Amino acid sequence: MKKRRLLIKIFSYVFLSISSFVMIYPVLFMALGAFTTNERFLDATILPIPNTLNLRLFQRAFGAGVWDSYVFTLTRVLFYIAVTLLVGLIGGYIFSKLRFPGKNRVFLLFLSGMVMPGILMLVPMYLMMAWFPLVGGNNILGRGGHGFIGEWPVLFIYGWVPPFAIFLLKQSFDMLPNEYSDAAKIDGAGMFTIIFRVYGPLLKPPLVALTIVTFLGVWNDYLWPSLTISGHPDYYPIALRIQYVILSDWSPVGTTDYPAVMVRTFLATWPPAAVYFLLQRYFVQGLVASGLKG
Amino acid sequence: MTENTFSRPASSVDEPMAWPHRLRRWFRRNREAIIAWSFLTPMVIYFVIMTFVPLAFLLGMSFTEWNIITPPRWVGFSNFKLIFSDFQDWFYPKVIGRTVLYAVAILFLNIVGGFFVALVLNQQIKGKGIFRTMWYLPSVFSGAVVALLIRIYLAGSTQGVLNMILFKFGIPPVDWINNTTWMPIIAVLFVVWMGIGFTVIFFLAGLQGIDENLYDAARIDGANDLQLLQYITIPQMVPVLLFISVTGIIGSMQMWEVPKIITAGGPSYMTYTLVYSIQNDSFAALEMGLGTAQSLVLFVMLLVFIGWQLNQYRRQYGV
Repeated sequence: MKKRRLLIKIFSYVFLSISSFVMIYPVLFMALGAFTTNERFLDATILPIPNTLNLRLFQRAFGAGVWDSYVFTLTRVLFYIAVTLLVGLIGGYIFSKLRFPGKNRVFLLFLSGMVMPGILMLVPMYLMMAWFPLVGGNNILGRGGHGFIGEWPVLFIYGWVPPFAIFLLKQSFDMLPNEYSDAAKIDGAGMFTIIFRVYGPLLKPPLVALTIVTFLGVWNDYLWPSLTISGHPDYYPIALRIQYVILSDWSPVGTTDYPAVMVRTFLATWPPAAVYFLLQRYFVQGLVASGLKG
Repeated sequence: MTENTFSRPASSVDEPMAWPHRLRRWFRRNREAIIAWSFLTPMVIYFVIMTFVPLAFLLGMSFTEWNIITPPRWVGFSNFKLIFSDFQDWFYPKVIGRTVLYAVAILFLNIVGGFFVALVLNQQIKGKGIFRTMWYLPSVFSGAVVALLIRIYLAGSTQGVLNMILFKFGIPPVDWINNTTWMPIIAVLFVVWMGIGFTVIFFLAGLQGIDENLYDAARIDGANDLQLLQYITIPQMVPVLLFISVTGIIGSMQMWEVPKIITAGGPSYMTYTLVYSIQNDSFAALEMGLGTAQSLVLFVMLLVFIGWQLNQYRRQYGV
């Protein structure tokens, strides 16, 4: 019996080590490849191991608009984090602490919107943006121009009411006693003071979780920008830019400067990885809370 | 009415001044509702415009023939008839069947693999956190960027990274992306690779939520490890299993990274999935009606799962 337990333990460690390595292998290969010279990269058997720190490529990689995309994507990320936390906190507070007619109906409306697959909206949303009245040369009926297509607002206009944030924060508000807000009200505090000053500091874990989820979602966003902003490189988010840059100087045949390609991919992937490594405790909690409770 | 007489001129009649007072009282009584609705009204309007108006739009468009440039023409059910007809040797039924097949394969590997890894991780193991982190890592990246990376690895010549490595072990180069045997397998493995971390984390949370006393009681009754798994772990995990299956099927039916970034639907349409077909017909062929009709077909196929998920959330939040 004891021998079998030991065997299971050994098997577990061996299995986990190998499988975890396989899981991160493609990404690890890329991350290491970004720092190696081309000759060493082509010599690699299992992994390319950098012998000297080859940072020259990074200087070049930030050209070709990658730096602009960094700034633009980060602006988007910050905008969406601010919107998500603000609307999430107000919505969560309203659904948790206030009593009003129609509450369940509105809640159900948000829920049913949340479970709709986003991919269905792609075509109709595209057309709604193209026909937005009075922008991009459109008349009041939304015809005659290109609307928001190819303009930067198209990447900022959707997702202002994130049901997921509202529900996660509603649950968190539910766990905090009403006495806090009652006491603050007696001191003459308004709703915003109650939400941001009284409850806000107590809601750090869900707020951090939402920040990470929003960061990952916006940083990795590709499908919507690829449809609406293609051909306007000034407003390429990073995921789109990387694809554009790599495919313009990479060909499946002939010689390729692989480290140059890996550097570009590395630039697009290190921020999500860093955020995940640093804040994963909150992230896992938020992830699980979103689906499992109750 | 006497308590605030100080606020009005002594000469005034009672009737006209009663209104502001009543209004104020009404405000005070319904304070919470007024605050709530003044914030919710813009939120609800925005949400309906961004979610339900597009859905209605989608429904309408699917009954038209339309290339964006000339005005749409009402064609009734002919888009749907085309989708379910033998047009081009059953092209669209094949797309749908292929999508379902991929979804089932992905879900199966995801659940079996994820459950096994979660079981292994749920023991007393050193470095558990590190292993879990590594398993989830691929999921934090942009599917598009990682797909691009894989596309570069899979390049057909000896210069492709995968071929380059295999060559050192004496294996001749394979044109992976155009290989009808390998590419569907790689497509499935790619999607599983991207998503299995999520499954592992949820299964692990579920396993940790099982009451230890159940195991202790069964052990006293002389149950062995396999019986513990069969009679306690798996039945206790049914809710998590259902949740993962439903969200998993909804997600994997929407697979688009492989065809859009890696294969362009090839080789010989083997990775041509429904979502790729929707995009292709809508934005490349400018057949908006046909594209949205396929979206609607996808929606109807997912309806049972979406409904289950909605019901689950309703129970969770008590609405």
